[in-house]
Amino acid sequence: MLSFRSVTKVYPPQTVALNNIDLEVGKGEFVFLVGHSGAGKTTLLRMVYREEVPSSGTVFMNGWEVPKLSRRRIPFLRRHIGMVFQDFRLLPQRTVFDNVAFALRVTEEAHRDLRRRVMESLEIVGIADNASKFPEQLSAGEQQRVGIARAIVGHPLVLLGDEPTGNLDPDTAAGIMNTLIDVNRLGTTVLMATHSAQIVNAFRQRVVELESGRLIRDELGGTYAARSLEQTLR
Amino acid sequence: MKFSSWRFYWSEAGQNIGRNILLSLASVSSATVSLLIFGLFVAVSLNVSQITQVIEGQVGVQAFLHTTVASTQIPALKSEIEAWPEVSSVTFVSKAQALKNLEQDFGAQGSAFKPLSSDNPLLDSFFVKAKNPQDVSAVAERLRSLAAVKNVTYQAPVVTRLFTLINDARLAALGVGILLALGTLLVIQNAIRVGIFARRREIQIMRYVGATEGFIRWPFLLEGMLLGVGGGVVSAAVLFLLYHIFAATVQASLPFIPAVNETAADQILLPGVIALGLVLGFFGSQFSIRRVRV
Repeated sequence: MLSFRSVTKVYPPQTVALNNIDLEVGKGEFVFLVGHSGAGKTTLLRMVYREEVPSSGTVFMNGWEVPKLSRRRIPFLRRHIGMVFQDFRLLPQRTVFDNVAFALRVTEEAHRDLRRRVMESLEIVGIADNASKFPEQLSAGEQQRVGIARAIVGHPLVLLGDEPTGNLDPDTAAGIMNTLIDVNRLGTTVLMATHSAQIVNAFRQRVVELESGRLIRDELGGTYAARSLEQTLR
Repeated sequence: MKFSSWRFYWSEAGQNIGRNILLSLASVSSATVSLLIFGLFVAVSLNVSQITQVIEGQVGVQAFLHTTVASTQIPALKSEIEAWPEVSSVTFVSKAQALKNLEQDFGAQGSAFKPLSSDNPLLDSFFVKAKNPQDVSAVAERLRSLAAVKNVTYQAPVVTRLFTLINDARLAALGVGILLALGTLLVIQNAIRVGIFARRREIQIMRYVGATEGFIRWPFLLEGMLLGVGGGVVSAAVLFLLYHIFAATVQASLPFIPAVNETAADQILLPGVIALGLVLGFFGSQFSIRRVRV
């Protein structure tokens, strides 16, 4: 589903954000992207939705070579990608329902079943009862659920999360994680950048670790820190 | 493009205007002022060209004859002048005819001349037109040398100077109109920029979920065009009133000045001003959208 091939990103003059990354993510996988701040996690995610293009190497998503897409095609790529952010990025003047429906309306997919699709997404994330509330009337965890509902309402192939639990307390974060796992079970590939050792260790998925732009570990069912280091500490 | 998209664009544009109502009003009034001045320029120009045409047709030399010239001498005199190479036409105006013309020119007030009909103080005259306006003074000199001619008048130099003056004034008005239009462009551009800034979160989300650039831009283009058309409609209304008052006043008090007919003026002026507002609004927002990376 996602394929990074020898991806290097250099910001002028000499900041190397990503250094020769090779990574394959299959359809339906759940991948944690871990590493310190500035390790290149966000840059890697931004390459998928073409907010950035590699300085060298290339990225494929669902068979499309992302850096080669014309500007005109970018929106159509993004309609297959759901994005969840640390700061939720909801629209305060719109209700929960309208925040989610917004994603369909602005892609001109305002079909007759808009209401059904929005409610379906809200049910998957468990906040269908709050459809008519405004974001500020919700808790942080509930707001992030709205963010997830918006990300999945277009039935994306890939869900990208940039620290989606970063602003949440551990219990709420675990709830959000369960929701993301549910979304993943419904068939969506999930690539999630996180700082949280607790979450990575609790949910035991594939872990890809970046350090100073290099991929230093790719482990199925891994933990936040490399096993050797963990063992050393014990 | 789908109908539902248009509904979205309109409601977004409407909301933007509502959210920044003061700036929107500033844009509309700025557009109104510059379009109004532009419209006045067009109205004056229309009238000046009409008056110019009418007056140009009248430029000629009026040669007044001595009262001693008998009416039997007139035809011979007329053909003599007609034979001059620089002359294009010669019309004899009897003093009775001259008085009648005067009464007509002054319309309702023309009756003031009635008492003169029994003892007409006017003179018989020839109205001589030159083939070229430059020859007018030569023709005048030649007429003056004739024994039958008492006096010669012609307005050509005055008229020419008047036209130069009016043309300069038109150019100045056009310049002011263009400057104001540029100002309006900037104000509308700014209003749209504020709108874009206020909605930057929405725009960011739209981009992330895969809205096309066109979809993101249309509401702002519509907003700009609405602001421009708003100014256009207000200034068209003001121009409509002003022009009708002007035309009525001119016809009542200065009937010899041929003002452009009101319907013709309405048909050119009002749609023109509104269309110009639309164009200003479109480009104002277009520049804004291009500068801010949407």
